[in-house]
Amino acid sequence: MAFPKLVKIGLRQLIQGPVTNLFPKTPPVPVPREFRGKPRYDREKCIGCGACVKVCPSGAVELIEDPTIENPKKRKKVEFYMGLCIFCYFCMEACPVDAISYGDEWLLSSYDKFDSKLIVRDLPEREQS
Amino acid sequence: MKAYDLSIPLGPMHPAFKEPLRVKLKTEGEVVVGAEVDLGYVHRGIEKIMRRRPWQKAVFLAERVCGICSNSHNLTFIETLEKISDVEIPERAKYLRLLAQELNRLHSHILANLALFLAIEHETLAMMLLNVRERVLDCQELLCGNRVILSYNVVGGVRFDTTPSILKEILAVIDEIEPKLRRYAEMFEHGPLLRMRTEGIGYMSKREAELAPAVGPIARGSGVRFDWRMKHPDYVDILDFKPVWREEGDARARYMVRFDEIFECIKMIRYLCENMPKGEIRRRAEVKSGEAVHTQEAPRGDLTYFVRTDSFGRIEDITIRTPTIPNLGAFVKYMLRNSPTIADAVVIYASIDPCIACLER
Repeated sequence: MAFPKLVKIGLRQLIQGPVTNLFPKTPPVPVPREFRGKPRYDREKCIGCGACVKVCPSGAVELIEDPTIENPKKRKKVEFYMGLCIFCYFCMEACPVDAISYGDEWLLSSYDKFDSKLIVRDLPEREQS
Repeated sequence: MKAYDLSIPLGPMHPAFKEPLRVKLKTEGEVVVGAEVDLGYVHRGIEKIMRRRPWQKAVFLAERVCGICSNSHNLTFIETLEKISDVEIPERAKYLRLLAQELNRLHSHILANLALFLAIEHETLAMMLLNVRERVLDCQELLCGNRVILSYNVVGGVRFDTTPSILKEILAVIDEIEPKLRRYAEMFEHGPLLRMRTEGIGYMSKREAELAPAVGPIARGSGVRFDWRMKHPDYVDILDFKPVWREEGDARARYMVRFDEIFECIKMIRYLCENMPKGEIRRRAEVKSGEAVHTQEAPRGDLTYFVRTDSFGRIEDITIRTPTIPNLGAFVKYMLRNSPTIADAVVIYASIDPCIACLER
């Protein structure tokens, strides 16, 4: 009884390609809407209140002073160290001005935990320009 | 003390073991007459790190106790805090919590059976199950945003809302994997090679299971008709939960109980997705000072949390009792007596679905 089924499955396996994606060659599958990847941080919206620094369970957020900003009252900003981040997004919940939002970037491997590409300072499109 | 010929170590590094643990088997020829267990390879001191931390930070440590049943740890910790501070959660949050928990149980049971079949060298069947598990992880990702560590529950509700389109997608995945799982379950129930390796191996009677005391699917495989979900108000009110069990008490009964529970999980997930109420998902809540003990059915059995908090919402004291502790006792004391060869000891070990990271914390 099982023999025709076996032949059918065997032939199908011969014809179809591998089930897995060949990662660097084919583009990866899209991530869902609320995927928790590398967070998007809007530096212009940020008011430097430090709520995200306080709630972060792994100490991945640091409060810094930006000397390039002219107004000394608005110099306080934050930086996110992705090497320490556990992707809980408590910072997003704590933020009073919604400066942090979901990001879909997931390719975060590096030899160095504090690599510059693993530090979020601003929105990626703004950082490139 | 019994006399024995040779002490054969299994582990700490062994191809059949997912995690490091040493079992010293005492053997007479090929027959196993006793065993000793050596622990301490993955102890991280999580309970100690949690102390004096605010609950908002401790909850993320709690779910890192175990990578497989992470949502159970999260849920039990949060429910203990809610017990301390008398918090009522909204109706929709109850449904979402149950949905996340059942998805977690589904993938954990599939992984447990997969490990067993990998231990008895049925790699094709194991890989078939791994394919299905991947789809369940996709569902978790849709619902919670992460695949393994979900970070979903919080005091007063759940953290992320869902949409009808996501629920529809989860239902589509469930519809896709159910016939596959039914086919595999049939294979596992009647496959002659699997029966040869598992039938009558590692027998434990109902009385012994109660004495040990074994918990979870391991006890239910020996005919113990108890599940902590029967005592959980949400499971009783919303899902009208009934436990499943088998009478045989051998390794085969244990993995078949897990398959039976998988179909129960699928039934519950379908009901929850179709009857999801509308409304808020989270209420403002404050953690008060006090102490409480709470038990919940994790995929492997009873998971108990004792938590004491101070008036600032910090964790004063915490103790976690995970299901693998009593199950490993039952394994050494009762199941290994019915191990005709040393190769069968590995099968019995895999059939109790041990989680060493849970056990040592």
